[in-house]
Amino acid sequence: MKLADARAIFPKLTVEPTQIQKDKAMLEKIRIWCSRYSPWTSSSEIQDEQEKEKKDPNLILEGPGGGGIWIDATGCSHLFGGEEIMLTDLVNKINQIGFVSKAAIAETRGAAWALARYGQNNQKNWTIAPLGTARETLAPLPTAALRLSYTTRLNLQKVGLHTIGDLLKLPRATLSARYGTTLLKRLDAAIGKVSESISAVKYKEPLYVRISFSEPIGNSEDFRAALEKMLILLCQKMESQGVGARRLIFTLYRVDGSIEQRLASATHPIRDVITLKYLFNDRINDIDPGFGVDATTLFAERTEALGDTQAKLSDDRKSNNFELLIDRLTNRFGNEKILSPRITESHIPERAGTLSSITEKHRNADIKHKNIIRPVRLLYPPEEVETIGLVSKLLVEPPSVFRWRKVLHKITLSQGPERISPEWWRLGNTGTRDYFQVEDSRGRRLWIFKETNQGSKTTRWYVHGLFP
Amino acid sequence: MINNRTNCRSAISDLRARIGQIERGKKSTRLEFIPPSVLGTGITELDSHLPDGGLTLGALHEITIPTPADTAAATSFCMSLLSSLLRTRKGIALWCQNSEMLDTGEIYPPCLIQHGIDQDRLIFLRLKRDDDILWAMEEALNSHGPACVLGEIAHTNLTKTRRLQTAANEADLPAIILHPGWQGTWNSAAATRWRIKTTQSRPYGLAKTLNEPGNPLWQVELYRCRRGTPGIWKMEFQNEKGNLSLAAPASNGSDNSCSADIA
Repeated sequence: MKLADARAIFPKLTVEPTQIQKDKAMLEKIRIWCSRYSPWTSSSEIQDEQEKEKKDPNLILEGPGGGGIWIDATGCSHLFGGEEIMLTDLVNKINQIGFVSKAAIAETRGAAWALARYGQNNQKNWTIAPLGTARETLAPLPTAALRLSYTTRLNLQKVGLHTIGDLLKLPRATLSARYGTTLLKRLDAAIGKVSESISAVKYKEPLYVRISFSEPIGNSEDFRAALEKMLILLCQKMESQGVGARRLIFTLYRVDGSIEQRLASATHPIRDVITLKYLFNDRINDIDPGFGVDATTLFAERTEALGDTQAKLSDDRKSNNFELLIDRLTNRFGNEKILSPRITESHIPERAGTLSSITEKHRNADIKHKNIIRPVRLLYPPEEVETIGLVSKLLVEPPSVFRWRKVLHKITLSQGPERISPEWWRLGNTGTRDYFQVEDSRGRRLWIFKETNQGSKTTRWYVHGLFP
Repeated sequence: MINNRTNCRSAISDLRARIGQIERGKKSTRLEFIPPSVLGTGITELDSHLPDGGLTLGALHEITIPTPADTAAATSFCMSLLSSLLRTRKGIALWCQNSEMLDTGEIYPPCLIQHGIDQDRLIFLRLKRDDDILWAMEEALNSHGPACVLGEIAHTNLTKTRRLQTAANEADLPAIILHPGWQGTWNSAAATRWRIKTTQSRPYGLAKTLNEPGNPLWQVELYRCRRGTPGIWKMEFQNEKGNLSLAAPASNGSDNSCSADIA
């Protein structure tokens, strides 16, 4: 049915666009949550991925917005007081999260899938297929419950095979001849003739290490030793997961229950114990031990994929060293203190070149104006000067004498004017400026300008920069 | 007689080599002269004056700015050195700025192009306290990461400069201190100490006719040099080429001074 038709039938229809990635992410989160019932969980997304890999796109069965979780609950139900209680708990809790769900327990994966989606759930929203009753429970279900492709289902319908029971009555050879081996495989899997397992996602160990001490420790040497021990363990864990740390939290637990924490972060993933220890180096000195620290933990809050480190060439080591140095300086002084020169395309001098934080990504402007001479140091903001003596209003000329920062400057040589007009496309404009490079009797060379505001006819002189 | 003289000369140069080595603290089993890495400034008179034939790289150098007005000149001198260094060596230079020096203006990036420095090869660290800057410089030298370390320091002493000199020596990297001289002075363990003063320019040609400022002219004084002698020169910064050269002696209507391109 098209959306337009649906809306025609029911005008107040709420329509939401599909967000497949978000749905997938949500399903994954639910799957991880379901591991409270059993460590062996998988989701239909993952199964679909695997089917895709087998190059059979027809077997992707879940539409967008739908999804299922497989849980291999063998041997787990007694922990919850029985299968019934476990399922009720599962469905209720998921309802509380906000999803409507249906659950089923059966002895085979196929049967569970079928019962969850197509079973008669009554009011409970869950079904349990008792052991050995696979054929009977599955018989009344429609053939779609066998996870078949659309074409197969269509074909079955045309011939009048509507339920699984119908299929079970037919001789197996006929089925495989007419509908292929997949149908037979599914049927066998559902009734338990063939085993079908769930390939669960490997459990990702959290990158967390903890050490407790038999006696409380108090001095920085001990903290450093504890940190090193924990780093060794953590780096081993990270290596098995193929990641490197980008943000580490070092927590110390004092005997009185209070906590002290230290953070270290890096701009690229690191897995080397010595390097990570280096990042924490100065943070450890100011830890107040209180009455003593009896446990410390180390948690890698943020990690990034890091392949096996290769033998470094001397070149790489140098650039690595520099990056490490920047990490160290960033950790101690903060991101904003590390600056990089930026040159942009702008006529206005104070916009054309700035020093800005190294974390801002940018693209340096192609510098074509190589021959324009600019001062070595620029004043932010330009400083007004007091002109002494007459300044010609007709000619554009710098004043012969002016006072800047209480010092008198007598101009002997000057070059200019260079007119820099305001950028009309920007707000907050400066007035029109006429720049001069001047030199005074003592050999000091300055960049001064005369600013004329369009509104008031006044002109003012400023020093903007210093030339070598 | 001639033999004696040559013997004496070789004996003296050997002695010099040994003393130099002990001073530099390099422990080697053979007492042969390991020439230190140097940076040629490109100005032959300056290079031949300096004890190692150029600016010693694994050492601390200090540049004193006598008055605030000379800040731009000293900064430009620094940048010229940095530019020739970055041309011969790989890596990124670290410049630790002192926020108090910002009183004389911030470094304006477009001038980097004029000096021939690539913007991606220079990183600034802006700090408030001298001790922090000294710490950062030492860390940088010990890490062997940057190509050169510069710091703007107002107050320090012999001990701290000695630490920097040792660190620079170990890492074989140059460390440069830019020092606002009007804020005080100190005893230093630096290998060379310079003082840069800006002087009047001598325009020529068209500039002279139009009464425009000529190329910047400075008085560059090497007032302390380990294993060498002090000296004083007049240097010119060629605006067009972007390099330093020795200024021609003053004479009326003088032509362009002899300039040497940076290696």
